[in-house]
Amino acid sequence: MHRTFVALALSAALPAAAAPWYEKMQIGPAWSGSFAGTFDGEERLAAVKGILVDLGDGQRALFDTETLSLVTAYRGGVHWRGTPWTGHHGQLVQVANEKDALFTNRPGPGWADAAGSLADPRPPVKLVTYTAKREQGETSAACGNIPQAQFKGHFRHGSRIVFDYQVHGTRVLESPQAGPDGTFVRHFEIAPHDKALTLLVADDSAPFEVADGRAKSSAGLHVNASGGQATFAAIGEPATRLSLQLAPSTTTTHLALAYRRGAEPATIAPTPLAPLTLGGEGIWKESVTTQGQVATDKSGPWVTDTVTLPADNPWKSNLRFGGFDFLDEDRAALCSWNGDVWIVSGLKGDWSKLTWKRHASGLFEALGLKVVDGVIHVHGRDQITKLHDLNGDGEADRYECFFNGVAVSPNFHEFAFDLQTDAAGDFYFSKAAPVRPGGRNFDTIFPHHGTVMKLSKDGSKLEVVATGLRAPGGLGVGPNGEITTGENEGTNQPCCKINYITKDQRPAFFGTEASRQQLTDAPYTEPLCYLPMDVDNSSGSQVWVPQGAKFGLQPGEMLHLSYGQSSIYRVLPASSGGTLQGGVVKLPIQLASSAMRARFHPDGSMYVLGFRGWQTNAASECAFHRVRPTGAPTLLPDRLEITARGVRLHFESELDEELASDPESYTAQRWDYVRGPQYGSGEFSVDHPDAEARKQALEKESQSHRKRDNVTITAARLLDDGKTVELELEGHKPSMQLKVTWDLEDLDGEVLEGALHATVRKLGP
Amino acid sequence: MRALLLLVLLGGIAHAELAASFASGAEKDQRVDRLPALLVLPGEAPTPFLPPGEFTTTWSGTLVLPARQRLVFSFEGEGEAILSIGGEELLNESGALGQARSKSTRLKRGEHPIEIRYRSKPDGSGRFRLFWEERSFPRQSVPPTAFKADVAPDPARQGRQLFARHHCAKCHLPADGFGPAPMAELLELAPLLPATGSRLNEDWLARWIADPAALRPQTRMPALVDASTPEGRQQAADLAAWLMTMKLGDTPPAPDPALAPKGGEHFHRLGCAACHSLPGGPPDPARLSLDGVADKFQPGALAAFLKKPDAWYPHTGMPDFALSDAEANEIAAWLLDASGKIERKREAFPKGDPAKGATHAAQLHCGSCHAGLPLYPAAAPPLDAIFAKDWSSHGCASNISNKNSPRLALSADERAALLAFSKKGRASLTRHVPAEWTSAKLESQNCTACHALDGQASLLDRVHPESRSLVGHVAGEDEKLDQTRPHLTFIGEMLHASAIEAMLDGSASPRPRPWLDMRMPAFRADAGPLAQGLARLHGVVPGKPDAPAPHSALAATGKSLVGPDGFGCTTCHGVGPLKPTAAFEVQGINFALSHSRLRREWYDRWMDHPAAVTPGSKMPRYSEKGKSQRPELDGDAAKQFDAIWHYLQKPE
Repeated sequence: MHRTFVALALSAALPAAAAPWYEKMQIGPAWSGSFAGTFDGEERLAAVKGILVDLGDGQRALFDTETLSLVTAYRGGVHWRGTPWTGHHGQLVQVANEKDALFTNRPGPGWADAAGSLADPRPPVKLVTYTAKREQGETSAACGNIPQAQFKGHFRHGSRIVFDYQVHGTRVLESPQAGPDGTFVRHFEIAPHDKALTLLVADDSAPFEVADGRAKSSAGLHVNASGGQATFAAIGEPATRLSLQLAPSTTTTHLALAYRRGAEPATIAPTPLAPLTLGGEGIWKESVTTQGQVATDKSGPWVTDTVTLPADNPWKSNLRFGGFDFLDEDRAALCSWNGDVWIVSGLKGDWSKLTWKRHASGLFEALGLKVVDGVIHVHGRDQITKLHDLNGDGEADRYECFFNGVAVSPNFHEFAFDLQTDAAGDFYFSKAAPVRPGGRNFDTIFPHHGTVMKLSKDGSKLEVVATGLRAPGGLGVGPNGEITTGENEGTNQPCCKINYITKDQRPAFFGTEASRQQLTDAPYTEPLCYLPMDVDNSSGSQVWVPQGAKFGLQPGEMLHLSYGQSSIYRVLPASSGGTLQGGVVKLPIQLASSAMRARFHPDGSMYVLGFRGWQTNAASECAFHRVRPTGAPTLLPDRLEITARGVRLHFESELDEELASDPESYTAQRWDYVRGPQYGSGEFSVDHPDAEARKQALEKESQSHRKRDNVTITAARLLDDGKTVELELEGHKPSMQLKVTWDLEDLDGEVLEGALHATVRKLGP
Repeated sequence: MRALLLLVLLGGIAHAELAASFASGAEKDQRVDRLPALLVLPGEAPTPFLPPGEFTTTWSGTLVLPARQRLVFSFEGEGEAILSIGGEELLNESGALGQARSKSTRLKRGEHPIEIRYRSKPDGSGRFRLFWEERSFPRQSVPPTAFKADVAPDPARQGRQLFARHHCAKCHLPADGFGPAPMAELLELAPLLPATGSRLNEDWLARWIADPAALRPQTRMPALVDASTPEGRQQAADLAAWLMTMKLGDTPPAPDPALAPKGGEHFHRLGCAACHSLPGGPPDPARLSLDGVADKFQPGALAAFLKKPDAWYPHTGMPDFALSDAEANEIAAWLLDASGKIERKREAFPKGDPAKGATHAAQLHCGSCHAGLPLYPAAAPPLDAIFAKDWSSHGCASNISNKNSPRLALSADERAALLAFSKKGRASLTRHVPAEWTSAKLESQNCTACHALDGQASLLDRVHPESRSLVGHVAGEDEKLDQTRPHLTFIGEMLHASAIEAMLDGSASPRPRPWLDMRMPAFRADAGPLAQGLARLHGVVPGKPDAPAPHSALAATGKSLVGPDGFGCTTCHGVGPLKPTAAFEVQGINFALSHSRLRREWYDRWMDHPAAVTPGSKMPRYSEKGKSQRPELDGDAAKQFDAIWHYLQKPE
């Protein structure tokens, strides 16, 4: 195994013996994330879309992809203050540049605007900061891409990283490198440009003096440049900022900037960077093989096979996969919360040997993955990244920035959930709202917080199709362009639910007032159905059974995944006269972890992926399953109608008439929730409305208020088809939640037990 | 108003109930029980109205099932027991109960008449509990919420309580005492008065003595002077002047008024509104008004009272919140400020004469109730004499004015209850019945003001917003972790009595739920007996944890199951000094506390279905019909929970 780089080591916090897994993990040469750092002796936000480059030999450099600024170069590691995937909420991972920084730049553009100014055009935004004890502070910072910058991604060549971006339309390749004797070098390859370009070289605590192509600050920072027609300038009063102007050029410019503190750096010859963009030596040459677990029990309608994960891998990467797609029938790509992408092959075989290859690393909390035209697209918090294996060695050499138009705040909770496409190839993904570390209320809202976004196939056009989300967990795109999401209880969200709109109903507002965004006057879009805590306490994606799939369910059916209950539900729509409503019944599918993502394989089986990162009953940290139909009857209802007097449930099997016609075989309850500014909701009687309790639920958490109405089943009938039961419910009326249970038998004496959880808005004829 | 208070309290507690008919020889008694359970030790009376000795109990009422279920019933305890549902005998067992199981019985959704006939052992001791199991849940005690009965409480029980709480027997003395096991409430004391002059204000004392019920409608202090006459008002003033001569030490300076806002924050966060309406707010018969605090307390004395409320009144309803000096000062500052702003007419009293006050105190026998004062032979009729009379027409409980009787603040219902009690005779005063004493304490100490019970939300859930404005200025106040408090439905079978006692006497350390702004206050005088009684209410023998004896292999499996390679319990639960790895919105109780707190049977119930124990709990469910999603130990959830139990005995 090639291990030319070292793990990002803990700088100070704990003794090595007690080091948690993430401190032992070898992330790789480039790590994308939001980072804090120390600047002028004060901790502050360093980059919300940063890439921390491990230069080897203990040196690191942080690049800001929004501003194209090399924020800091230093010797040291990181302070593991927190990322969600290490279980921390609130603080950011902090670059340990407080003691041995070569330089640290003030926030703002790394390249000047058309007028030659390095001033930051972005307005500062007030942001909340947190201590380890979740005590709040406040800071202000500018976030978002600067107009003159187009970040295009980066290349990995061995352990070298080459950034690829455009400044005023001119392509620039930049590669940081550790030089001799503490020297730090920035190599540039700049395409021909007809106007001068100005680069921020460094900020320092004391003024710079410039002479003979060299610069030196009175605090001891020395910089020299070689290659190109470049001129240093000391800026400001005092002149503590150093820039470099590149004269217009008709040819490609190769430039090297060398930095050293306390002594003049050696002059470094610039090296062409284009050769480093063609693919380089792999750094994870080992693959890991596992043996899949193929179930033999055929007693139920589905069996669950397990794609055994490469948990014991040489890089100590804790693989909690949160997105996947198939590359072909034999291979799937999976992205992990902590930023890896792995490819598993052998799916088409007997699973006696599954081969796992680490394909990419260092992505920013990747929780969505889609393969388009054979190319892996990964949805991270910072961008959608296309991964290219340029030399066919199984490892991504190019991390192409496909789209980075979504602003990022430092809040820990703005998860980038899921990545799907519609029939036209356009992309859909969601972003959670920035919930505060205690779970209530929100930090500063950015424009795409709590939304579902649609991105055109070519990445050129972004459309917000839904707002008002809190923590959707995942989404789904139906065969006719239907857009669905899950949700979690919280502020303005009484419980989990399935949001659902058709493609012509966008944009829709899904309830969270703080993330209402531009839909200032839009009414609240009621969900297809609400789901109580014991059905779903944290949602995952929705998936639709494709045409032709022999999965034991009908093509075109929608399934809802519960991350919190590690369950998969069949969705039974029951809309009436244009009024959206429906319910869910649980599929008898056992999973070893949660249910976050699912996709159908060409062979008709459904693969299900889930991990454990927040509250769930998931029985393991992560599991990747294949769910296969056995041919046994499903014993589930497959159709639901809300009638004038109750409900009509159609089962897939013929039912024992005596039991089906006995009202004692059923139970029913109905209740409401209160949607308001409090966290979640209690359960409120529909039959005997308690106005005072509902009013109070708007002022105070009402979780302890639990008043379900027990509904008498006044009649139960088995219709002539022998499969449909018609139930009459006393006092039948709309309710946010209707629960109906059954305890029946089919003609062979097989027991059918189950529960429907539905939302009733409009009674049928 | 007091009747309304009792109704409110009873309404909160009597949601789940059965009629319990007792018989001992030819004597009978009936009470309302939350669940069919009892524990009577040899020599104890089964109820206050029956003598010790062999007895029978018949619980009857309705078993309410939410769905058709196939149930298997069993017992626990000693004696003889017969269970009938819908008129069909399902289980009959005698001796050491719990060996037999009923046949699996399919019962329809809805209500089923249930009757349990129990006979104690011949020596009059007995223990009984009722269990059930179904394919969807393992064997566990039938919860109180499964029962319903249309049964009216016996007013004599309330009368007995009123008799004790009004300290009637402090004046109406028994000729031969109350025997070896007296009703425990008879031993409680009224407040001690030696430091009154250092703590309270003379004007307030005069008004209080003149008409206690005018200042506190719920009071048990009788009016002993006739304040409608100049003589009576002078007596009140004299008594107040005399009390003011009783000083102990110097009164500290008043708290800095600038501390008041901080004190208001504590008031809200500690949930004081559970028992108190806000100063100046609308009166609430279920809660004590704080309007008179500034009138009552000398400004510098209030903080000391808040820090140690039971210093001069061991049986006070005000518990000890273990306030720091700063907290006590801040709350005192807020209370003095808030109650001091209330404008109302304060009647002036003549100047009092301490010497005359001392004389009045002797004549009024203040020392009979307030220990430490000079005690004079009682002039009131002895106990036996009053039980020979008709209380509707004679004495303090009657509504007939008698200038020689103290005037008790009694409602018509309370007088009726006392009358009913009088007709049962005095024998019940010689019988302490721990379970009934505990039920009465749950009411009198306002336990359900803060804690949910049998599916009924706590009073605080409803009234807490009243004090919300006191933290309105605090940024981030709404972003705290879950502030719900533990339910009491299963408390006696959930915690070892030793753990309950530690919570009640304030010695539990560390706090199990440190994330709560609120904190369980100490009810020190009742801690031990209450802990024992809560166990007895569930038919559980009060106890403490055994010494840890984990099976090493099982404990190792359990450790793996709770860790990141298992269910990941340590995400939300700390283990000793190790904090939860990733608790977000809520966290769980530290595993290092489990063994000292939890009883096994409750642990099994909890692990099988947390939300069935605490509705709305965020604790995930890991078992479905006994199957776990993890492969260890054959995927058997019960076996896995057993392994975790072994680990929890000595978690590392």
